[in-house]
Amino acid sequence: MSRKQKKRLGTILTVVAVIILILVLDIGLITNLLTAFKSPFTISSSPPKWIFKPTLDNFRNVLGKGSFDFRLYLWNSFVIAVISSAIAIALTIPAAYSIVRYHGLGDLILGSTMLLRLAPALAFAIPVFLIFNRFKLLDTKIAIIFMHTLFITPTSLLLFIGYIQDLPLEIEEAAAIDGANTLQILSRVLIPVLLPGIGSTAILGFITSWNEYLFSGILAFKKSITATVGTSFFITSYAVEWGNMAAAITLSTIPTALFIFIAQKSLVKGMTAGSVKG
Amino acid sequence: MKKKKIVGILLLLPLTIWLVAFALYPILYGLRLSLFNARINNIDNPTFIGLQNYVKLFSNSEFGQSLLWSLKFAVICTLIQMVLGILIAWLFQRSFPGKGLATTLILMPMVVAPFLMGTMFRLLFNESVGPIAYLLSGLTGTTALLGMAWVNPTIIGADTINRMPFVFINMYSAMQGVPQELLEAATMDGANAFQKLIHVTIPTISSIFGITFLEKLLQSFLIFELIFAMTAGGPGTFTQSVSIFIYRRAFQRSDYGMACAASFALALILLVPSLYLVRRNTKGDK
Repeated sequence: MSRKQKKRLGTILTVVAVIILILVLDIGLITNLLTAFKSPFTISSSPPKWIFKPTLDNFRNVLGKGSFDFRLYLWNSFVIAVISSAIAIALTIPAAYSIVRYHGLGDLILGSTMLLRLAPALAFAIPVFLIFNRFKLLDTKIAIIFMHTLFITPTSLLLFIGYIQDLPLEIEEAAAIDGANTLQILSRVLIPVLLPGIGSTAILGFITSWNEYLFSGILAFKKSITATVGTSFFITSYAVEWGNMAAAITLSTIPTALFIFIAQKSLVKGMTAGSVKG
Repeated sequence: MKKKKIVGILLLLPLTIWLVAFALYPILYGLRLSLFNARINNIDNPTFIGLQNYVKLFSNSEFGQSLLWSLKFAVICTLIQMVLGILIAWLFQRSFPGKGLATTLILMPMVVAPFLMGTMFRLLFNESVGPIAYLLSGLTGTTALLGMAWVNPTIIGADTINRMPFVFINMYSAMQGVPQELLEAATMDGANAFQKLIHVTIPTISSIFGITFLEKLLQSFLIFELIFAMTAGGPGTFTQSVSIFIYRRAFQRSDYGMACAASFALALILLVPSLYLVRRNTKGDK
């Protein structure tokens, strides 16, 4: 075999291996997507059917006025994710700026936020549940927003520290010479150049909140239930509505799946921010 | 100079307030609660019992079993996922058509919520209607993949699908940074691709390798959502990870005092490796 042929064979083998790999890793997502389009009759047929007449009934049930108001859950998830992400950004930009330019107390705050990222979430969940119960905040969106914001801050802080470190000091110095104070430097000089970074941090924060289960689950029981929590409601003690559940899961994974396609690079940067220095 | 210091502190204030209100205060509240007999009916007026919750906890065989289960699970999952992650990252060092799309599709399970992933697998591994259970029954001889005999391997497989992409992408980015000259020199010396991986690539990325390993180990040890959705710790207490144990104590048995004690014992166990990771990670930022 010539060198060229050998190289071509290598490429073909790699592609085959990668295709198998993708099929194995995404088999859950693929079969779930198929199930979402199956009728109850098709779902219970054995052996499972891979080719069938698709139906939109499950999506109609989930989004219509069925036993659960899944539209409300999707809306709650959206509102909570947007607000939590926005607050986390507002909290961490000034903090990141202080950590990069002033040091001192900032290093302690940075250390505590990093420790927070690794701490067992349940250590917070129990006291938070009891505290919010006492303040009559259970089953409100604001309670969930408080906690989601907290869990977005570590990654958000790390990302902004990285972005600000990459900025040249000269722009700020020039603005300072022109008589701008720190607040003006932050809002008029820093924020505009940070905009792309703010965008990707916002997406990551949105996903963190959208995907969160533990706190959304214990803090809500009716009005403020999120989509991630709501998917499990299709399992009752009488029956499991498999098709509706698959449709609900599909709807709940759409935002994250979309974001990984349009913003893969910045998402990966954020998700590995804690462990690998970019 | 003094003014500069004040500005630095003022900028930190909003985040600090948030951390104190929603992290430090709950932690201290929980720590205090762990010294009380606090249940749903006496939560406004719990009785102080000193360290009794901790004594009860460590003589409770269920707690010990859940710690052991989590430890085994963490070690096995981390080993499998590190090996797979490195091999796939190594495969992706080659160029091939459609690599960008392939990377996205491999990362896909990582961005889906672990709870949704678990709920999804609960359906797909279901004994009577699960398509994946049916596909695998040729290998396993049964579709009861969430029953006693197969539940542990099933959960390990599900977690690997969910979390291995994280190892993959960490290793992939690290491998991109290995100097090309080193690899070429090894080729000159007659090393084959596998020898290069073992003797050149892995030693060069050993620092990121270590951090990813430890982080993965901690994450797996604390696993909650995936198992909660798939089996809720069952059958019985068969897949009860330590997080599930604490959750059940608190939110199903309303034994808040003991659940708090268990979560602090857990936090203490993890404190040393966590502090080590934080030090390693923040070192470069100063």
